[in-house]
Amino acid sequence: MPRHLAYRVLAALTASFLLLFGFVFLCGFIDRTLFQVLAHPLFETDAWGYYVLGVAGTALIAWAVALFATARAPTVHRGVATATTVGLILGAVLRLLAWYSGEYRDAGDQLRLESAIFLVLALGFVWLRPPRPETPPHA
Amino acid sequence: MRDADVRRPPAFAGRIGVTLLCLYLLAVTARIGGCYAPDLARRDDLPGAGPAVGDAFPAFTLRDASGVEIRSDALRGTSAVIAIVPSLDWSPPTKARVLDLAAAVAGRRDVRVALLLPAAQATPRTLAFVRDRRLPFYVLVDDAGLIDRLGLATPGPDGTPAAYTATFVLDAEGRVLLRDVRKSARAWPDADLVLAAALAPPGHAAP
Repeated sequence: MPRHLAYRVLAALTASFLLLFGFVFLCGFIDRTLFQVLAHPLFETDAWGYYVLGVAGTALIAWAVALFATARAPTVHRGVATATTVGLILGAVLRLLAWYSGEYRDAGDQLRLESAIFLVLALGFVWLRPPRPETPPHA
Repeated sequence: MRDADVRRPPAFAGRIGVTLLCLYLLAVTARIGGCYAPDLARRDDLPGAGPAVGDAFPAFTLRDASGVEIRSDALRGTSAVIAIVPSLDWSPPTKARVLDLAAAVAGRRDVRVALLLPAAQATPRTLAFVRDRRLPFYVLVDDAGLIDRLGLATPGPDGTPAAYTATFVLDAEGRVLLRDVRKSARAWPDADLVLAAALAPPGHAAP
C-alpha cells in the first residue's frame, strides 16, 4: 500500500473539487464577458461580480494544482497542507458569518453544511499530514 | 539534539490548537441556527401597542423607499400584511425575516405587503438592501411618526430611533386579523403562519 494513502486521497479529492469550482467560475466569467454562449448566465451578478468570480476561479485552480503536487509527493510539499487548512478554516468562518448576516437566507442551511464540510476537511489535513522527514529530501 | 526533535513539540501543540479551533467552529456551526429563527406560533409582548384584532389599522400616508407617496388605501381590496421592522441595516434577523416573507409572497397577487421602517433606519445600506433584493413589497419610510403613535418605537442599539418587531395581517377593509408584536427581533412569526392568516376565508379566525 502506498505511504500516506489517506492523505493523498484527501488532497486529490479536495484538489478535484477546487479545480471543478475554479473551472466553473472561470467559465462563468469568460462566458459573460466575452462569448455569451450560455442562454442563462451561470451566476446572476454584475460586471464587477463576474470579475471577482474570475479572480476567485484562477485562485482556486492554482490552489488545486498545489494540492495535486502534494498528493504526488506528500512529504516534499507539506506546507500546502498548512495553507489548505488555513484556507478551509477561513472559508468555514466566512460561511458562518454569511449565514448569520441574514443576507443569504435563500441558501437555507447550505452555508452551515459547507462550513461543517470545510472544518472536517481541515481536521483531515491537520491529522493526516505526513510528519516532517528525518533528513531533508534534497540532502 | 537534532533540529527535527526540537521542532516536534510546537508542531504537535499547533495541531492540538487547530483541532480545538475546528471543534469549536463545528459546535458554532451546529448551534448557530438558534441565534434567530421564525416562530410557528404568534406572540404578543406588547398587548397595548398598536391596533387590536378586529380594529382598523390607522390610516397613513408615507413615502416609499423610492420617494413615491403611498396611502394606506393602496393596501385595501385584498388581504395585506404590514411588517414593522427595526432596521434592514444592522439587524440580521430582520433581513432574514424580510427575505422569508419575500419568498412566501413572491408572485402572489392576493396579498399585499408593506414594510414599515423608522425614518432614522432608512440608511444607504438599508436602501441598497431593498434595491438589490427587488423586494415585492411597499417599503415605507415612517417620517410621520406612525410607529411612535402605535407605541412600537424603541431605540436601536446605536441609540437611533428604531421599532419593535411587529406584524399585522389586515383584511380587505383594513381590519386587523392577526397581530404579532415582539420585543426581540430574534424571532418572528413564520411566513406560512402570516400567509395562512392573510388568505383565511372571511369569518375564519386567524391561526
